[in-house]
Amino acid sequence: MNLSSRENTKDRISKVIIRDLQLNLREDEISHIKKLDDLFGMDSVAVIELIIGLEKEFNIAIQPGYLDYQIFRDLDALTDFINKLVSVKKGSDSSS
Amino acid sequence: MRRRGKRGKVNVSDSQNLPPYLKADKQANGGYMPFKRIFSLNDVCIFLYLFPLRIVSTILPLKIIRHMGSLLGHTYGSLLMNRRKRIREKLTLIFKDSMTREEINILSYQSMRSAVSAYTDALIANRIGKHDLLKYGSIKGQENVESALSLKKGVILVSGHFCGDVVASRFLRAIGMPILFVTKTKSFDPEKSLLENKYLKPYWSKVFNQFQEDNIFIEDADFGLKIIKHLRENGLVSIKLDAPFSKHLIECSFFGTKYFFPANFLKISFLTGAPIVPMLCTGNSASFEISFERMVELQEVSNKDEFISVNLNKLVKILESQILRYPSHWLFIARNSTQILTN
Repeated sequence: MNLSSRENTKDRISKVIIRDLQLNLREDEISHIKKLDDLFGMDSVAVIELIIGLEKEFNIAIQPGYLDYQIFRDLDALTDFINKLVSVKKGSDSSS
Repeated sequence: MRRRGKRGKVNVSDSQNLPPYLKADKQANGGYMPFKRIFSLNDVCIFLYLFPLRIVSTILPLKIIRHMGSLLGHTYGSLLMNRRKRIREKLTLIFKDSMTREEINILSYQSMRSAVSAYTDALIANRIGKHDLLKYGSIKGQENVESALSLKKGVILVSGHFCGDVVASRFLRAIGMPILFVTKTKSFDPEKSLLENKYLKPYWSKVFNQFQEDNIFIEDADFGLKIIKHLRENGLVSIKLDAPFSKHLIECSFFGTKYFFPANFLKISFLTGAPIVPMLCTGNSASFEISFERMVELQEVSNKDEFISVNLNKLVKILESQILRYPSHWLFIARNSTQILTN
């Protein structure tokens, strides 16, 4: 995964966080926050809004088995995870 | 972690996850929570329950424990007159149009007995095997849950605090229903003594939560993830509508008075499309019934806040009708905080 693609994914995740969780922050402020649970407290609804927002933004489906706290609390881990899902989806789309 | 503050006040950290109405109190007191007393008679009851009674209950026959519970219920209902008076006042506030003074008096006594019976059942429930649970309990309206599950979006079960809850949850686990029970660890309550808040409640949580592997706690960092994961696996999530401990509370009319109700579960339903099925657990460990009512026809509106407001009122009406059908089974005693019930 190249660096620009990774940064692009991170930016899009930050946009989703600001838009769907209605946070009064700029995108660059979010990218500096490593632990997302510091940002919105990982409350029950915020994290669900984030998951649904990410699925819409990247046109992916996150299977229940991947709903792991260690992934969703860390912006870098989440970025890598979303990138992986997107590339798997691209692979399956092109093979079909 | 709680540190000792000046007499009459205790420093409560944010990790205690105080409900919003208590957070305001904390702010107003400069970060300290006031408490009314250091020690109370209630602490003796809790101590007796947590130590001698709980330990003895592991060896005594169930019948004897039930008799002990019944006896304690009578004693509790008859002796603690101040508490009964407070309950009566609040019951009058709720049932003022639908019950006579005498009926409310009897109900206050029954309510205290039901609470004691529920505590006894918590001791018994861990000892009843699957065979006996199936013998003592029954389910009504299981087809309503199955119909909701057929939508493949998981199901949110909504109920109030009724005395059959403890054994019912054991029963549902025993028959293999994939349910997560949303609960909370006991948090600071300024109406209670310092001894209870600081020592007895944490010990209580430690002792009882270890048996309930299907409980999820609102204080858990991964609480939301566990819920969406379980719903996406087409599981059931049970929440208590009369527990005002959500991060998002909405004031609704409840028997003509104002009461705060949790609203986050409706947001979850709005976001995930999970249907809502009302549940009611009545009875006790000797005989209990779990009723699942028809799936609630949620009014579909595009705005999340409007969705919550419209449908929460609908659910509160369902809770009211359950309470009116089984007033003595409703654990009003667990909901008697003055901060949440106002004129």
